[in-house]
Parts: sequence; C-alpha cells; structure tokens
Amino acid sequence: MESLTIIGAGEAGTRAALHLRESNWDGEIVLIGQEPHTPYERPPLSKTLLAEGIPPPLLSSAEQLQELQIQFLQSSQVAEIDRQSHRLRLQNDEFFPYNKLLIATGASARKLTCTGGEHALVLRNLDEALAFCCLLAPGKHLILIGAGFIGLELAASARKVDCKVTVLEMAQRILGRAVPPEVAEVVASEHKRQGVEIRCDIELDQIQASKSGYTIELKNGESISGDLVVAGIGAVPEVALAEAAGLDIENGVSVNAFLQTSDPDIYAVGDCCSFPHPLYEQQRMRLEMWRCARDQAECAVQNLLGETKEFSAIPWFWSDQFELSLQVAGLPSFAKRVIPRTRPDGVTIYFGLNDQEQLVSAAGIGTGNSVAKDIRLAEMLIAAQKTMNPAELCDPKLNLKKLLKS
Amino acid sequence: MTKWVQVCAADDIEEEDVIRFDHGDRTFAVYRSPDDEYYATDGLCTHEKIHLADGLVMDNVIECPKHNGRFDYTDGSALGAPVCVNLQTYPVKVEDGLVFISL
Ligand SMILES: Cc1cc2nc3c(=O)[nH]c(=O)nc-3n(C[C@H](O)[C@H](O)[C@H](O)COP(=O)(O)OP(=O)(O)OC[C@H]3O[C@@H](n4cnc5c(N)ncnc54)[C@H](O)[C@@H]3O)c2cc1C
Ligand code: FES
Repeated sequence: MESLTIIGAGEAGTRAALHLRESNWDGEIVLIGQEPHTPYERPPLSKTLLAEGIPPPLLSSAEQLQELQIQFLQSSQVAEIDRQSHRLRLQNDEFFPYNKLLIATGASARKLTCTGGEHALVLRNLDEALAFCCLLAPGKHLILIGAGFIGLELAASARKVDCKVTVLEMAQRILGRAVPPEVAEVVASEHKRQGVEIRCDIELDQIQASKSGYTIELKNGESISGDLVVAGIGAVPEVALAEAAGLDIENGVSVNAFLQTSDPDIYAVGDCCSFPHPLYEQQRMRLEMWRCARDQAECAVQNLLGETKEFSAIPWFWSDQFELSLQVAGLPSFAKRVIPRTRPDGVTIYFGLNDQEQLVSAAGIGTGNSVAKDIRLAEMLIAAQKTMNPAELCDPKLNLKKLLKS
Repeated sequence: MTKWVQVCAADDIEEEDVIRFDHGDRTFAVYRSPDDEYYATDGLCTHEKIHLADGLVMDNVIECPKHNGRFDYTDGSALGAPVCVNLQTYPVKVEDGLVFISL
C-alpha cells in the first residue's frame, strides 16, 4: 500500500489512521470527515454531554493529527467514489486520487416516517447533541419515541436536568432482543423510580406542531402533548457512496472476513459495514458498537499492511443510565437458554448458552462498573468456545477466571 | 522520610486481583500479582475518572472496566488506546501480613 484514504472521521476512521501510525507505517494518510469538528468520541453525547454539559473527549487533537502527518480534511463530504479512475470527488467538486480506500461512514439516525415525523429531533452527532442541549431545560416535557439504548440514555440525561420525560415504545418491552428480558426489566424499573414514564405497545399515528409545542396522536385516539419530541428508533448504515459505486450491499457495505469489500482495494469498517462472524455460525451481521468499530479499524489496518487477519472479536457494549451501567458480551439472540448467576451483592449475570452448551452471551446490570469483571471474563470464555456446565455456571462460588484458565 | 500507610491484610487481596483503597481525598488501586507480589497505582483510569479496582487483572495487566483501557500495574504504563497517559505508581511493602503503601 502506498497511501490510505479514509472516508469518515468518526470512531472507526480515526482509529484506523492512528493505528497505522502506531504500527510505524509512514505512508500517506488522508482522513476525510464531513463534520465541522476535530474527531470526537460519540458515546458521551447521550450521556455526560446532555446531563452535565461535559464536551466529548477528542479521539485526537488537531495538533496530534498534524504531528502524525495525518492529513485531515474537516467539513469535507465525499460525494462519489470513482473506482475506475481510483479517485474521490468531494462535494465541492475537488478530486482526490486514492490508492487504497477505507469506508468508515458510520450510520445516521433513522427518521420517523409518520405524518409530522419531521418534527422529531434525532441524536447521532455533536451538532445534533449541542442543539438538543440548548432545548433541554428544567420543567420541559420531552417525549421520546423508541426505547432503545440511545433513547433511554437520553431519557435518563433529561431527567438529570429535571425535564419531564415520557417514553413511547412500539414493541411489547424496552430494549428489544439486545438484552435478556430480566435486564430490560431492571432498566425499566429504574426509569420508573426516577420518574420517567415508559409506555410500551403503542401505535403512533402522527405528530402535530402547535403553538406551545407538539402533540403526538396515537392510533387508539389518545394524544400526548409535550415541548420536544425525539426519535430514538435506531440507525441506518451510511451506504449511499458505496452503493452508487457498485459495491455489494447487504444491510450495510458488505465485507468479507477480512473486512474487504467486493473491490479488493476498498475496505469498510464500523457501523456502516456488515460482516460474517466466525463465532456466530458465520452469520452476517452489522453491529453499532463502539468497541467493534475500533477493533475493526485495527483489524482492517493490519490487513491493509499485508496480514490476513479474520475479524473475530466478540461483540461487546455498555450503556449508562442514571447510576446504573449495563454491559453485554456476545449476542443474547443466539442463546437457546439463559442461566442466571446471582452474586452475593445481589447483582445477577445472565449467561446465554447455545445447544452445544457453549457460552454465546453474558449480560448484567449494576451500579457503577460492578458487572465489568464478570462480563469481561465471560467474553473470554465465549471466545474460547468452551463447553459449560450449567449447574456450575449459576454457582456464584465458581471462579470464572480459574474456569477460563483450566 | 517516607510515610507508609496501612492498606489491608495481605490476604484481603486475592492472587491476581485488585482492591480499591481510599485515603484522605485520594483513591488508589492495590494489586496482588499471580507471583504474589504487591503493587499500587493511582485508583482512577487516565481516560475517564473510573475506579480501576472494578476492572480485571490478568498477569501484570489491569484492564479498565469502562472501555478496556489497559495498564501494566507494575510500572503504570498505559498499553494503548483509549488510554495514553500512564498511571502513577507507589512503593508497597508487606510486613507481618499487612500491606502498606508509601504516598
Ligand atoms: C449518542 C450515541 C451514543 C452511543 N453510546 C454507545 C455506548 O454507550 N456503547 C457502545 O458500545 N456504543 C455506543 N454508541 C455507538 C458508537 O458510537 C458507534 O458504534 C461508533 O461511533 C461507530 O463508529 P463509526 O466510525 O463506524 O461511525 P461514526 O462514529 O458514526 O463515524 C462516521 C463518520 O463518518 C462521517 N461521514 C459519513 N459519510 C461521509 C461522507 N460521505 N464524507 C465524509 N464523511 C462522512 C460521519 O459524519 C461521521 O462523522 C453510541 C452512538 C451514539 C450516536
Ligand atoms: S475510562 Fe478507562 S478506558 Fe475509558
């Protein structure tokens, strides 16, 4: 590789650039990002930024990028990938030749499609978060549509600044299949305790703007009025560029086990790509997880530098809501049965086993970082693909570290 | 003169594990390595201020419970992104079955 051009200066794109330098590669790196900011961490947007006004940490300062000779084009949107002539066209009609390309365009917040859906704010980037910060004030009534992680973090942050919060969820329960029902239940009751009203199983009809705010009308004829409406109904991968360039798309930019797209000169990583997971029956998946974005960036970089490294990291994410933090390793949706393990401190870890009694997931929620150690050990046990003894697993006296080393 | 502060009994920390130790308005992490040596570092991760004692110890590495930043607790060195600032370390001694750190 002579030079690497990266589209998207988010978690994955920036990590790739930094990792190339950490690997002592001294070729040319061009990092192109459409946001008008130095690369920053995204997860704090719905947490400490909203609740406490703390700006998100930077992934790298402008000076550091310069020092590392990473050419960073800020506020620059790539408009087209021209694979024939190996060049990019920017929105301002400038052209940039590329040698190898990394697509790290992430995802954008899914918009509501009902009538009046355009009134609902979304939160995916720093500008959206800052705009939202200005609107949150004590006593305001926030109506949140969708009870996923980002939505619920937002609800918790809004409560911290004394907003009134109503959450409307279309499904029967919050958080869908991302966590076991028991964990979702702990989250739901904490929100209730903190004064958030969560209503599941609702059917949205339309949103109407009024003089004083917005009114949500439900299909059952009920209406709910508030000052602000936010949609937290998931994200869609940013695939427009790749699609127009004729790359394979399948729930994201489709990559192989080495994170290479259908064009050998182009790799894709992070929220925008779907990949086959070797530890989950080679099933193609797209993850929206901070650590996965970073791990994929490092893996793609190593492959661009000549290695042949299959991406096999175990999915892992966390979410912070009020004083609780939850962590999930692996994929609970692959579990055929769930073994709870209740520790002496009352915290329960839910282990998911497949038909072969191998560990495929672990989830837990507790104050601070009280579940971190167990989830991390579980993650290593998942990677080791060991067969478990369910009776042993639920015994809190069983030492997971010893089990891992045995 | 060094001031030694008593932390806990040597057996209060399991092998290859860590405990949190608060003293005055400061907080520390005190480790027992797999080969039964004791070490001490600042208690908070240098990425965000998270108590490292909730993290996992493997060999001579402590992994932050929040975003898995890793440090070598024997010399405090940060082992890569997202952590890039080293941890301060402190001398430790074990006497009569008690662990002391020097601040
Ligand atoms: C509010 C919020 C909270 C989150 N909290 C957590 C959490 O607690 N735990 C967790 O595990 N994960 C969390 N995540 C998910 C995590 O942040 C993402 O998985 C991660 O950011 C993905 O990195 P990425 O680089 O693929 O995409 P992104 O970080 O989205 O970066 C993509 C970048 O590419 C830019 N871009 C797109 N198209 C173009 C173009 N044509 N030209 C130039 N630039 C372009 C975008 O503007 C963006 O800056 C959260 C996400 C959000 C939004
Ligand atoms: S707080 Fe320790 S790695 Fe982020």
